[in-house]
Amino acid sequence: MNEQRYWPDSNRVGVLTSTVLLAFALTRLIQAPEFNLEIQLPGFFFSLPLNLSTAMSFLTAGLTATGMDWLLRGHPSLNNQRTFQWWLLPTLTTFVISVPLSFLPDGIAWWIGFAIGGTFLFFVFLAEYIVVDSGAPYYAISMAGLTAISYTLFFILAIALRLNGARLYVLIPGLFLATALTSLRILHLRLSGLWEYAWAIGIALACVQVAAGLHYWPLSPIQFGLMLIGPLYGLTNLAVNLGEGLPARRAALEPAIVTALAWGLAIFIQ
Amino acid sequence: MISRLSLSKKQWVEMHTHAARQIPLEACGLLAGKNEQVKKVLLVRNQAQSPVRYVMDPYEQLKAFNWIESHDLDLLGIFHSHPTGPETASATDIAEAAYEVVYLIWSLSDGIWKARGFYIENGQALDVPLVIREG
Repeated sequence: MNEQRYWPDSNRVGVLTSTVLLAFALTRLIQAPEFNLEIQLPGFFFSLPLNLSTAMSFLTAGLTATGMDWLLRGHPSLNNQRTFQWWLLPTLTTFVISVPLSFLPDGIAWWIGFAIGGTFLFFVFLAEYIVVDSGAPYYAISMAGLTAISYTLFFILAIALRLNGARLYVLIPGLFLATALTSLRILHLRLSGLWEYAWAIGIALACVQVAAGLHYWPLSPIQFGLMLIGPLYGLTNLAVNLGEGLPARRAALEPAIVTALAWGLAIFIQ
Repeated sequence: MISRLSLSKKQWVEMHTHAARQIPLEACGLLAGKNEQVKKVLLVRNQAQSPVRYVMDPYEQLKAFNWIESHDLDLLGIFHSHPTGPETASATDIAEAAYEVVYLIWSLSDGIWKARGFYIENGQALDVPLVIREG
């Protein structure tokens, strides 16, 4: 068996990773004016800080999507399929990495974040390429890795938004989108290519309800992240278990335990 | 940590009047603003209706939080009164201080109201200077 066909072109994956990392680094180096987009609505004041980091977050995410598509075009098993499902997570990964990188202070902390982000991104590109073909030798491990990365990304995003003091009108749409995309991708991976839109939207609605309810609570960013990752993991796994035909009680047991553990940890951690 | 809290005379009088009107009960409310400068005093009903304890009415507290959020302000302080003293944070105030904001305490002694600001951290109440500005 020619194993080489299951691995991406090393030149392409290298170019893609370094281009995205270069975009992150340039964002930090270039000084650009910042302004607030402020709109006074009846009884509501909308304020969104717009700067180079905001613009670059979207640009690098777009760059990743197009780059991933370019990488996938070289896959021998693609057979003119649409590539959307395989660039969803890399795009989200890039966007999530850009959030903490935009407000981490200059110095060692930023470089550690940059290195971890780059490594993360590289493995996401690699794993997404491998899972295109379910017959690939590293398919199972890649799928498990992508699932773990999806949850980790969501956790990082929740922590970063809380740490940054995001307003409710930024937090809720941001988390809704991230939750829906994360659960959609995990369900697609775990349920052999099924697009479970209804589950993804339902899970996202449940998670943002929890986020809205906790918004004013004096929780630390880690506590906030744990309170959200619990229901995301629980509900997504419940959907997977039900999708695999497990009886309802058995399907709910493991997700309930993990959610309770995450919440328990959030309560006891300071 | 907020190093000082700046309030206008009008806001000062608003809190003072509220504390005086609530006697013999404790009065409470929230202070919203930006960069250590209070922009709005939000009065909240004391659900405990007690002369020695305050518990903010959850519905009014949520309304106040939503107001702060929708006006792009931050929670800078929480005030309450001690109609029977002391002028410092009580053991209950310290134990129940959950938010990292200034705790402003109005106390009544010999018919005169006084206010002091505290930052409560690691079981200790540290003094925070209150600056009263014109306007």
